[in-house]
Amino acid sequence: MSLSFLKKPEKQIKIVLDSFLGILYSSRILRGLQASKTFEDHLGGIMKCIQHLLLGCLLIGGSLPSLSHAAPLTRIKQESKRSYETPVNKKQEEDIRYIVKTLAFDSLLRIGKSESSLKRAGHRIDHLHPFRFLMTIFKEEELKAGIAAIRDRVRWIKDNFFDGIIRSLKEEAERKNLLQFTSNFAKEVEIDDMVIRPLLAGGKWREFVNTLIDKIPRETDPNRYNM
Amino acid sequence: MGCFFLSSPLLAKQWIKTYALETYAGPEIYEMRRSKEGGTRQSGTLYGFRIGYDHIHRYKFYWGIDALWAKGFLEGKTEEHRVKSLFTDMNLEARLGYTFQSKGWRCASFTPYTGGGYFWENNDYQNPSPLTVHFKNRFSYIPLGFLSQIFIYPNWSLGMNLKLRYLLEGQQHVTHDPEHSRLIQHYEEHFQYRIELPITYFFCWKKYALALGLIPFYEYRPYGHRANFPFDFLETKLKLYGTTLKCLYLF
Repeated sequence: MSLSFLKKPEKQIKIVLDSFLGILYSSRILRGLQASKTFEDHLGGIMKCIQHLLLGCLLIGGSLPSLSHAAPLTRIKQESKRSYETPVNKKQEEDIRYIVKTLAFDSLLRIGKSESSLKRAGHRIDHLHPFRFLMTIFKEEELKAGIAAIRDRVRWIKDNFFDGIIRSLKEEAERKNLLQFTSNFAKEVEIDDMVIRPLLAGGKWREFVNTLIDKIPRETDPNRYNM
Repeated sequence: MGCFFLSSPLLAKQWIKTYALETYAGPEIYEMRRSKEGGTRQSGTLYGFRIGYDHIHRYKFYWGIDALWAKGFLEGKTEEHRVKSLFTDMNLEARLGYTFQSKGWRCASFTPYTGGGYFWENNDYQNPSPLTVHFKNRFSYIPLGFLSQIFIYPNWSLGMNLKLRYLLEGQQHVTHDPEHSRLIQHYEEHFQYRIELPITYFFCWKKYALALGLIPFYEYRPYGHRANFPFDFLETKLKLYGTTLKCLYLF
């Protein structure tokens, strides 16, 4: 569950590549290959590229010193099994709430400023079982909205947040420490066991998390201000 | 200095040597079209006033401040109901840049700039809207853009101004909901842009150097969807078509 994007230098390289791909994408737009899009969509695409470049520069600029210490900062695979039986304590709950709310609702600049505290919080909950982590989120209305918000955010936030979850799901699946808890997890988060089991068995981690976001209902109608 | 810009290009050159400061004020009128992800469409005309001050001179640092206030009713409908709201735009911006200007060729100038700004956008729903909530959108931003100008005649100039707004931090406060207390919604901060095509006529009156500018513009303000608690912010797009009439005093 650690915030791998704040630790892995290869993620920074990925951002540069993303920006480069953004430029390629914008040039494709300029060539008019996507003729069906509106003028605003075209310009929106170009703007997104500029935004990616700015954010890439900001993130790389802020993290360059870390690159020289790549080895110690690169995440080491969690050595021991994460225990599903161990419940999430108050402190860990606060850390999860802090990470999700910050990534979901704070501005990009504030997230940049909170980098070190996010890193520390991520490190403190890295040993939690992924089902326990997801359970904490999907049992609280604000965090349910939060994880959905992260999915809508810019790529470097959403990809890296979900990459952390997917990595720990994968690790526990390899240790045969996941599927046997599916029924209990499904019951806790109020989703049909049969909807998520095939996804987990098939190693479709991203689809599994997306299904949780889409299928677990929110208590209030989120579209109240549809006007 | 007299009425040096009335007829000769040479006098236009004189103009760029003489005046560095300009203060302006004038009415701004625009049609706003607001659309929301859920299907709501609203439109209406906003009437307002723009005022500002520019220090702009050949091969010198440029700085300026600009303020806008505008208000008007938007009407339209959601998928099921008719809606009406009173919309208010308020904006304050400070700019810093540098002016490149040709001495000879039609005194063409190009002023790239950046700076800082703050926007207040109020959308207060009224009857017969199903919910008479007030949306108060606030955001700070960095403007990135340029001003440009070329004299087609000694006393007439054309230009093109482009501005991008990079939103730093935006949030919408929702108040007056009969069932909920004040709450804050966050949205995805997208680039906004504004394109202006100013046409300016320079003249003198008594001993004062003045100008009148007509500035048609198009502005686009998108705010992206973001899940929020307890209610989501739905993607909202504002498209503005309008014009500003500027009276400039040069000194």
